[in-house]
Amino acid sequence: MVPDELYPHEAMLRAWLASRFPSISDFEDLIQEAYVRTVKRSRNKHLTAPKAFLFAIARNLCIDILRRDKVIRFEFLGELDSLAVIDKVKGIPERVIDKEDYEILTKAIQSLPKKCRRIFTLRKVYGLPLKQIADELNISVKTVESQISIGIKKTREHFMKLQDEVS
Amino acid sequence: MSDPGNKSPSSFSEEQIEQASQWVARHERGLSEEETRAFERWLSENPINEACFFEHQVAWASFDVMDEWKPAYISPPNPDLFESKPKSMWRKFAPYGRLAAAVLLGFFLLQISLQKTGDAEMFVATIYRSQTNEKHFLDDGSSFQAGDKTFKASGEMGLRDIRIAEAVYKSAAKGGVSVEV
Repeated sequence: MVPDELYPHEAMLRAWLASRFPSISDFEDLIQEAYVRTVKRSRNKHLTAPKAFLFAIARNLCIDILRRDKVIRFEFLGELDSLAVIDKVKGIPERVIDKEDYEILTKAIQSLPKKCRRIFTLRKVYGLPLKQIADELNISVKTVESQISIGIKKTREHFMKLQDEVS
Repeated sequence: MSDPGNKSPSSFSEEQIEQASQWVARHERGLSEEETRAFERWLSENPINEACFFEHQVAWASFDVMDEWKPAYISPPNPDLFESKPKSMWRKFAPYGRLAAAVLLGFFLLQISLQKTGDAEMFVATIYRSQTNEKHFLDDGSSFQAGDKTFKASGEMGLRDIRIAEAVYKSAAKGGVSVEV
């Protein structure tokens, strides 16, 4: 019952996004899209932290939109109908935004030190338990855990930097 | 739980960031009863701790969708799936190789074909004008194939303007360069 769990967080999500992306004036469609994706995801996979997942999806959608706006504004600078173009881009089909989303995450994971990156890949792509990751890489579970901790810190910094760049 | 969403992400201390990221990693492994109590204590110590934990939880949850990249046709997990491929040595140095080859080619042509056609002060020389697509072989077996209006040089003594275009140079040396300019 993910929607029931998530809807009470809408006001918080709105405030969270507004504090990070002040240049976006209307989060309505974006939040709805984030809800749809989270619910869709929860139907197929178990979400260990649905609220965090919802917020992460919403943040990525904001980054997508701002990055896209920047590119379009640059390319169509001086064009009379540039604003119409931007509006159209915001309503771009979900599949394209997904691709952008993947690009953001790929860059985030590639920014990690090698050991961190390998552990992130085994955990998040292949879903291996920490013990199996430790065996696979010939390291201790404790090391896996501490590398995850390092990676989390670094990826958070990476996302913050990305937010600053697009805002 | 309080509202962690409105706390500024930059207002966390280094210690809070360190602890929050560790707690997220421990949650991933699974908390023991003792750890659960310790985590709850840590949260209740300071409301900012909860916000900081949530920020890191969001960072970690961002990657939940990555399982969609899992290659269906490869059974052993590949930890280097996202490794950035370094540029090969050839690709790295290729621009310098091309430049060096072009300079050598120009120098060679200057040596073999320079013709003085005017007075001593000023000359205009055609270094080489080949027939289109005619292939020329050098002593070492290297070759170059020139297009129409390929090579032209002019200028005063000591000041030469060499233009090279539409030439294909192939070195005879093993592993040598092949260059198109």
